[in-house]
Amino acid sequence: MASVVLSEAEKVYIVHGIQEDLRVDGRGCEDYRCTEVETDVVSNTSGSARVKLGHTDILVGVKAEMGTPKLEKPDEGYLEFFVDCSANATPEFEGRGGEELGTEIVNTLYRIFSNGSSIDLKSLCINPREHCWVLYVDVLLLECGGNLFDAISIAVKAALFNTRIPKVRVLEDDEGSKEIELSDDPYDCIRLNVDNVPCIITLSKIGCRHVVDATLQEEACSLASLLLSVTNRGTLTCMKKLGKGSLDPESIFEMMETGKKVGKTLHIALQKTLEKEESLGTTRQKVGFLG
Amino acid sequence: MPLDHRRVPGPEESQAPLLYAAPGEEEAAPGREAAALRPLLARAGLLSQAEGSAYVELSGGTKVLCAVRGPREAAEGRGRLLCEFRRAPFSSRGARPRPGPAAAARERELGLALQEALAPAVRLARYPRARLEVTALLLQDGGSALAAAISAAALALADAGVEMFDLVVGCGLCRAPGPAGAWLLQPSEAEERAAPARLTVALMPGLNQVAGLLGSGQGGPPESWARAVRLGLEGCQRLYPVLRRSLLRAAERRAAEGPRSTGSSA
Amino acid sequence: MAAGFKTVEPLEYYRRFLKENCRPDGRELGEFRTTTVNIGSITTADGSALVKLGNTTIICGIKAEFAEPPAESTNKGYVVPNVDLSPLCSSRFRSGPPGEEAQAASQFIADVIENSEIIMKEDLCIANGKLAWVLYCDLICLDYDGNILDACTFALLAALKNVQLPSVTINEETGLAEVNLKETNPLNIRKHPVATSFAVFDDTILIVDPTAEEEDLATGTVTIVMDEEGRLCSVHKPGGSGLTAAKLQDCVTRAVTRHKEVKKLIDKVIKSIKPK
Repeated sequence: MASVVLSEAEKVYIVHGIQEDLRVDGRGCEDYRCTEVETDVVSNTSGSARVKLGHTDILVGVKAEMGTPKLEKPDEGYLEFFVDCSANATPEFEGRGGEELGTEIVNTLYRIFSNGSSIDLKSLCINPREHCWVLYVDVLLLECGGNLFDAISIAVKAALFNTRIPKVRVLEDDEGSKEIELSDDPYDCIRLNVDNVPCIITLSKIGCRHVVDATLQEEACSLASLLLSVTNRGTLTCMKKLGKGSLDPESIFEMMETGKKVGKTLHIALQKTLEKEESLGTTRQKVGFLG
Repeated sequence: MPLDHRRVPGPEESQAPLLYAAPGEEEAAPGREAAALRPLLARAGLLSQAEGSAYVELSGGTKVLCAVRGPREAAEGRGRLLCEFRRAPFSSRGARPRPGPAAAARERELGLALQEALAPAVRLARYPRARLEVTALLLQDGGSALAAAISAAALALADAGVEMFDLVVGCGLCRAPGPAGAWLLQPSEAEERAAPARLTVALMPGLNQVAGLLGSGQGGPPESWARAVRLGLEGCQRLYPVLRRSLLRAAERRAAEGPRSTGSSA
Repeated sequence: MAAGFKTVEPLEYYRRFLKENCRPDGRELGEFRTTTVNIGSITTADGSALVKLGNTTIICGIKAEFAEPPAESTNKGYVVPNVDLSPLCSSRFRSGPPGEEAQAASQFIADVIENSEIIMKEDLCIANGKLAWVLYCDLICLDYDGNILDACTFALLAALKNVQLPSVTINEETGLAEVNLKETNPLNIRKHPVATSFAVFDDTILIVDPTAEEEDLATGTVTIVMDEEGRLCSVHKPGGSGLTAAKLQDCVTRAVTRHKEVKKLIDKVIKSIKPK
């Protein structure tokens, strides 16, 4: 992962600050950085979102395509994830440098979305065994400024919220052959219910406290962190230890409680932002990338 | 599909017969105590060509073999621990996975999980400019495979004489189906398949530090997960003596055989 | 002292032993290492066997799946062998797609299956032109200490003898297969091919069942595959030093006795697990 080199003195400064619940940028241990969310930024996707969390910059595009359901789940659609660790994000991603991180992110996303409670996969089915919607979720890392996983999960949720899938009907003629008809009205779309899509909260252990939304500098001071995916009701759907250090059992329990608390607040704020943005409709001024 | 000249060609597509079997033929698993541990068999030092090796078998079928190579000279930088997790094509029930990017990605995830669970225990600072390679091969998946692989890999590292802070013991858990399902320790493959949530914990028992944690599913609120973690850590503590004994036995056997020609017996 | 001599002059060290008609591990030139076989230990596979030849360990797991028969011969199934040599078994291999030696071994096993008629591919057909069995035979080397071809051939034979295929009927109405997992049948094993490998030392001396060390020092190897009727199924001689006809005849004679040893062992093991 993108990393910065810190001197011992700098590390001590950061660790001591966190001890006093005061971080280098003035935040407390459980505060997020200022987050910008904008949806519908790429016009040729079914849904898209761009999230800027401090210096971390993520673009997510969702494309809905028709495919065949998987053999073992004939009445469900499915999601496919791709992560592109652009060499623009950090020089370490040049060549094959980003591959390992990309795999890790993709696997984490599959882990979160595979359990069926996040998105109603049955609603993506058009007709069992034959046709379903496949949502291709492309994640593009534009800049890495720490706390990648959280930013990606926010962006994925926002992009799925923004996703519109055209309505189709299955027509069956007398001989039993099926035909798929696309609705004439381009605004005749189905929306996904993203209420249960969780957000990832990564808690980094620094000194003997833990912080949310660590910057690159703070990540360099942390040996181990705990990744949690939290739903809007405060339940956990995924947990994973990251990093080469170990964690005290007691601190894990504390981190889970913090994760639940922070996660709930994050969901409320995100939902409010998304709804507000949508209510503006076409009058919304698009900010885009240079804004 | 492009032709793969490196393998003997087979048919382009094939399906597992299990898909065509009448459902519900399986008998229900007998009721069991949630905290019951499956008997674990551990052997260290059984491969002739590896610096260190270990085999772990859980009664019920899970079989994992692990080999450690190194410390070997690396091109640059600090000491590195590289972990690989492979599934034998016949290890799982149902379809044989085809070699390809999808299977490779899943194996890589488990390899990374293995690496993250082992890294806290290995004193990598003592191996500058060297790398340690850990390969785990899952021969049969009868549930709790990652946990068994973690235990086997830690044993193999110790067997290779790699300096470590402690052994790492892995323990698998899953939640029984139903709204108030209890957490079961070391689930079987059938229990895992039916489970809404799964968890693998790895503990360094001597230091009481959690080295690895990987879980997902509908496990409920943090309190429920916390219960699972506690149960898992307790399980790890109970497995610890078994693993230590196997390591001692391997060391005794080696001492009886005299010094080995390869590797050091530190 | 001896260890030092061995490190500095490994070939000379070996020659001293060979002069006395024995080998450093105490075997005679024509003696195999202790061979053990364990059948059916992998329950997720449809058939499996673990074979040990001294330190060399090979596990074979067979998975049976359905596929459409090949277009050119609609009454046949498939047998797809794959030999896997990973860093687990020896530091000489890299992870990733199969390397040269693994490819050569896979091809050798495929040739043995083809030439020995160990099973007839026609036996694997379920419905002509519609459905046939594919037997994926994955041979994984767990410990590489020489002579993997013998161990692979033996593991394959033992695993094939262990295969139990569920019974299949084709539903007349839907045309789909119906599988009854409770009713299983063994495969019809028609021949029992057994491989015997030799290493050639200094172009003349033949030693049987070479270890990895002996293979590295040898000037050539030769593998003879023979069935129970004493018919040659395959002679595999990949390069190296030449061999006189008389020497090759010696190899064939040794292969005949080896076949008897292996057949006895496999019959004994199969008998021991039958009563269950």
